[in-house]
Amino acid sequence: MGSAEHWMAWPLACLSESSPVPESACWWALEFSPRVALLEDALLMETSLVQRLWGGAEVLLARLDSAFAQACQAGPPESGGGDAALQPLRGQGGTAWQALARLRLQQARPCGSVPVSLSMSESSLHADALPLWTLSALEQHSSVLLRLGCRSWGDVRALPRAGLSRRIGAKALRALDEAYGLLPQPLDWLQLPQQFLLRHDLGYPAHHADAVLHAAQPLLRALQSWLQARHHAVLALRLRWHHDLRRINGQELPAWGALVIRTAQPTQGMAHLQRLLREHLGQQRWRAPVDMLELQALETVPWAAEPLSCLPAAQGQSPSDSLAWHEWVERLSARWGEEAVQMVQPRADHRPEQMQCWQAAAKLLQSQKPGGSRASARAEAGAGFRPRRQPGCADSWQALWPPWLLPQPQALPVQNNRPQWHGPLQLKAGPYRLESGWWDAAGDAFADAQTGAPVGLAVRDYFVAYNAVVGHVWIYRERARSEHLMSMTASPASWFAQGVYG
Amino acid sequence: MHTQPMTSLAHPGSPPGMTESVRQQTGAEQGVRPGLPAAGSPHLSTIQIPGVWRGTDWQAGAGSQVWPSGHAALDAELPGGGWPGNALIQLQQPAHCHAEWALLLPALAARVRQHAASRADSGLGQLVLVAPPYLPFAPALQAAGIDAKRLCAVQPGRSAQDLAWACEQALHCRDVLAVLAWLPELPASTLRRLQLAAASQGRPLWLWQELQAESRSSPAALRLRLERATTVFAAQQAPGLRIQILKRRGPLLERPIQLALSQWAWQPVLQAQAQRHVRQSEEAAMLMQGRMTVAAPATASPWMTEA
Repeated sequence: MGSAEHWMAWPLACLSESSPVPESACWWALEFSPRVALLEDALLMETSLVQRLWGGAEVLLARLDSAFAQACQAGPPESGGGDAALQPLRGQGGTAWQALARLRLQQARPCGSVPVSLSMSESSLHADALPLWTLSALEQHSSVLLRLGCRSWGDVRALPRAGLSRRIGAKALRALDEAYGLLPQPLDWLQLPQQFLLRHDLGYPAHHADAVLHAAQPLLRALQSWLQARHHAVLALRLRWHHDLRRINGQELPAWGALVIRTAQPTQGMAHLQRLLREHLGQQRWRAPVDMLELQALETVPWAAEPLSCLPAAQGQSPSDSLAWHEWVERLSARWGEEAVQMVQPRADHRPEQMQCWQAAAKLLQSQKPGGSRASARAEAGAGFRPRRQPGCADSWQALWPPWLLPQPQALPVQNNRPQWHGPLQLKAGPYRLESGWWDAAGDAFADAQTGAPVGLAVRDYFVAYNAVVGHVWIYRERARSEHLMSMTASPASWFAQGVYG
Repeated sequence: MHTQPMTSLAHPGSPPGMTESVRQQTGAEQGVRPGLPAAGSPHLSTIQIPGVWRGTDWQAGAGSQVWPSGHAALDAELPGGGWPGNALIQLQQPAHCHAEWALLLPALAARVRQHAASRADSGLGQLVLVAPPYLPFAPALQAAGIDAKRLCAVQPGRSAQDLAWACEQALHCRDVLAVLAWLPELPASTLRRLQLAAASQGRPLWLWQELQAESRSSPAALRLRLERATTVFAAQQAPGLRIQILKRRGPLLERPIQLALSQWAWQPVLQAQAQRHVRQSEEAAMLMQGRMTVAAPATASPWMTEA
């Protein structure tokens, strides 16, 4: 029913002026209520359905005021922001027209002299007192109505309806009925686009990374409000920039440059993405000024907020100042490249150098299912409680594995038939014979015919060796195969170091 | 912190966890040895000020902030009976000595097991290795009890300051269990930052460095110097370590600690092989000469001779 509704109105001009991206100027309101509409020169919101969700009318009002002030101050600072801080510029009413009328009344007056009754009241008694010009349907006929002696809405309603309808038309009366809640008012609800794609024409050339990052702020804020309103979280976004100058030093420049940023855990907060963006933009070479930016959300997933614990945080740590694991990995990867941070993946192989594979950690994290990572991590923790292989097991081959592995097997010089590594090595244990990797060697047998040693095939005898300088090390001897017998006996580099025990 | 950087007994920057453990320590002290140190002045033992503890208490009690090292000889000399779990630990070792895993594996494996058993909602418990000298061999570490998924390496090739920044960020990461870093000499201000980050976040940072002049001061809570040494363990020559404690939150230790690294899984393999060689040489000698000779184990194989 009309009487139960509660409408709020804000001036649209204040919002669209301050926001550099006009399409997204009103998106912030959708976080609070789905019933948001644009009516003439104002932003209207119906809040009766969501008051309980936000904790009552007063709490909702306070939050809306701060959100509006934030949206107004988002752009370059101007005088409107200060006024909004003094007296929140808004109109309330039982219908959309009433809220709009009170807003207009408040805007027309000088700041601070708004009567309390106007901003507080919702009853139709005060709606009767609203002047004619606050309803645009009546304002068109204001000359006629003024001659009839009407000053306010109530005066117009008091006139005989049939006669008035002949004079000013049924349309104006219908608007008045809507304003009093007697007729339902059709409105075009504000809707978000399905895909987030926003362009921002800077209007000034941005020459370096900081300027571009600063110019991207409104786009990121728009993305945040889009995500909050749709209850989604972003996994990947793309920032494109347009170069004003197409030709520099006689070279054609591509008109658009692009940057894709991915994160492992979906997020609504922009702080982490902004930091990644800053690192990536800082590494770009800016050869020409940028005059247009475009932000696109490539991948979004439904957002499930982190469940909050009822217990106080352990050890007095607040999660706000500490990083999550993926944030740390991505921060380092953004600064130094993805290969700088590596995680290991075990492989089923017998050759020690093939048993593990160190890969870029950011890629590994992103390849995991983002939503299910928490659950899978929990499952892993259960499985990881008991190590698969018990320490000190009977397998002597496995017992010989060293904790350090050389990135590449290092060829050892031989003197007096003894391998040397900062002095002669004394063999303590071994040999342990390994023959593996023929499946890798089969493919490139031709290529290896002249080099002598197949790449993948490992025919080795492993030893634990010792000397006083390097301590216990893990070395192996390439065993001569029949077809390579001559070359292997001739080459001295048949001893290799592969591991260090410490 | 800045006014008295070398004071190791009273730390203004110690976190609440530290003071709790201190309270537990003093409580344990009173329970186990009632009135022994406080016989002359009974009121002194009842004084409990957070962040302040008595010098005689340095060895007592093991709070949750102490990681037992797994080496009994070392635990006996470390304050609280283990590695401090919320501090910067500086270790110096010679150029070709890599005693990292031999020294730390028991403590790390125990902590990882404990973390995996106790965690309900906390992080993943990662071990971050910053600029390791070689690749950690994940299958071997997995056999020792550290899951391969917990390992993460930051590649070397950056300046020391950059890598120290990575260490500090890792200490601030809530999913990190411990940080191991191999960095060259750092300025004292950077070390202080690292120590502060470790203390405030409650994570240990083991900083491995080359041997250096010990006269330089450091804000680290514990400084050790390692040397390789052979120790006699169970009538066998076994690889070992000689550990000199340069600094600890406790009295000065003059003599070095001898540590036998007998926990390596290949130690029994080594011994079995040595015994097999002795037996084979004896049998060979019996066959060759028809009589019993005592063959030295060193001459059993040309490969086993000492250089």
